Amino acid sequence: MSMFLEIDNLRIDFCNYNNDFLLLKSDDKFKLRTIGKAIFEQKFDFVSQVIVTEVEICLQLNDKFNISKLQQLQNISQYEAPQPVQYTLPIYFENSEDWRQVEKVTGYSKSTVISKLQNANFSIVMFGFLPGFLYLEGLEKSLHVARKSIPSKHIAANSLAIGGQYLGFYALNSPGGWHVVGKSPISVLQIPQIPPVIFSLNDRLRFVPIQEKEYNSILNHRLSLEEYNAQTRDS
Amino acid sequence: MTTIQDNGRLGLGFYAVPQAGFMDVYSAQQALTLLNLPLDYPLIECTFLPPQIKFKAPAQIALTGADFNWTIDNRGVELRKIITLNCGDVLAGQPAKSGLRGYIAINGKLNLKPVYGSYATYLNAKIGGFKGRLLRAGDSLTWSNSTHVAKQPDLHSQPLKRFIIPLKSGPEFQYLSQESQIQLAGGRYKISADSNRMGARLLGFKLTCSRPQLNYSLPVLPGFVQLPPSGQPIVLLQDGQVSGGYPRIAYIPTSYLSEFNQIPFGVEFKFKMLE
Repeated sequence: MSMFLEIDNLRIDFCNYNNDFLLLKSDDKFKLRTIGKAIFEQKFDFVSQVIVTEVEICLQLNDKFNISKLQQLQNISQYEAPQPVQYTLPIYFENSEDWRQVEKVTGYSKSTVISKLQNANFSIVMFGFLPGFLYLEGLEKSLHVARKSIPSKHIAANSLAIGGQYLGFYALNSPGGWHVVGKSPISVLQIPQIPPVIFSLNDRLRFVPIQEKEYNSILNHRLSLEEYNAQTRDS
Repeated sequence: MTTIQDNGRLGLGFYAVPQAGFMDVYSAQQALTLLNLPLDYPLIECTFLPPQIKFKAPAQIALTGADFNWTIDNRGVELRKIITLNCGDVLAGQPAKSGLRGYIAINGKLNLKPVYGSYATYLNAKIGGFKGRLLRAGDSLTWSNSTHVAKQPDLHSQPLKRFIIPLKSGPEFQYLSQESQIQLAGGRYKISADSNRMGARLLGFKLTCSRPQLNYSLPVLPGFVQLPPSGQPIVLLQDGQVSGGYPRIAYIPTSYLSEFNQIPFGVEFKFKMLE
């Protein structure tokens, strides 16, 4: 059953799957993310899970749901979206096997790729597939490198990687098919705090290349993201 | 594979933290109810292979779920009954029969720290349960005793079901070929032993889809059936990831997941489309 809602002047198409879950869709990805955040923060009593992806939001419904509750979703337009925050993350662009593939596919040298990454500003457009994993938008087309057909068994926590059109950040150790280009000495995961990840959707990230020595220094000082950003702002 | 579970942590899917929790809610709640314990208490969940547990204090326990041929000091004990153990008693069993997962509840509260309000173990992020991991030989669990002694309630045994799992069509069902739609609706499958709390890999009729890979990662929930390029469906389960790029061809309604999660590896079951 496909219908639409109007939330915050945005037309949202939605489908009700047997009162088990709702899927909300829109072509305006930025606004959809903002609305997804708003729905999540409202903590509706008839919603047990809110999953926000780039083009679709899923609301898992519980037995408190009935059709009349959809009106509550409409009223989300009262929500004031917080401003996206700009962060800087230091990355040690360590040499690796994955760099050979990145150079091969892009046709650029490693230093050119790093220069391009450093000059771009990325947006966090999605969380998942694992807690702490970030999908980042803003990778220029010439840097797109398709994911591996056979994922590698182990990608270390705090790795930055290229996967197709996205830059990704792994906050946890995991297997993965993305091409690792570097690692950060700063951990973005803060389990068991809420939120589990320091960032919010739509926050922006810039990367600053650092060498191994600085990487180890920041790691040993256990600098937090806030501390690092305060430092770089003041210098 | 033995972990501590409870009814899981809802409401964190936004941060890609899945619900986790009991795979067979029905049997887990049955164990807690037998001991008159709150339904949000943690207990031990074991899959296929039973743990061997030595009790270093007297305890009352309840065993539910699959038949692991449980024994205490080598004498057989029944499922779905309150069992009293003495100091030094050893609980042991054999690989599960006619089911896959078993539950061991203790008349008391396990001394564990909740994470995000739940004792459920989520292995990928190493949170919850006992140190965020599988229980292994040498581990020690303690509990604070319940203040009451549980009395045997009137509980009927779970009726033996032929494994018929209800299914509803998913968001990408229409991309299945006509033949595949019909096949799935009444499909016979087996669960591969290469399955875990994140997902069950099914073996059976190969399905074909006009969109082998979605353009974007889309949301998924436990019970969703994905179709990877191999044509062999995957059922996402309680520890599964919250988004994915494979077509979501169908889903098992939440209330039937308990039953699905008791189907032994390699045993044939049948889907039944509910529309």
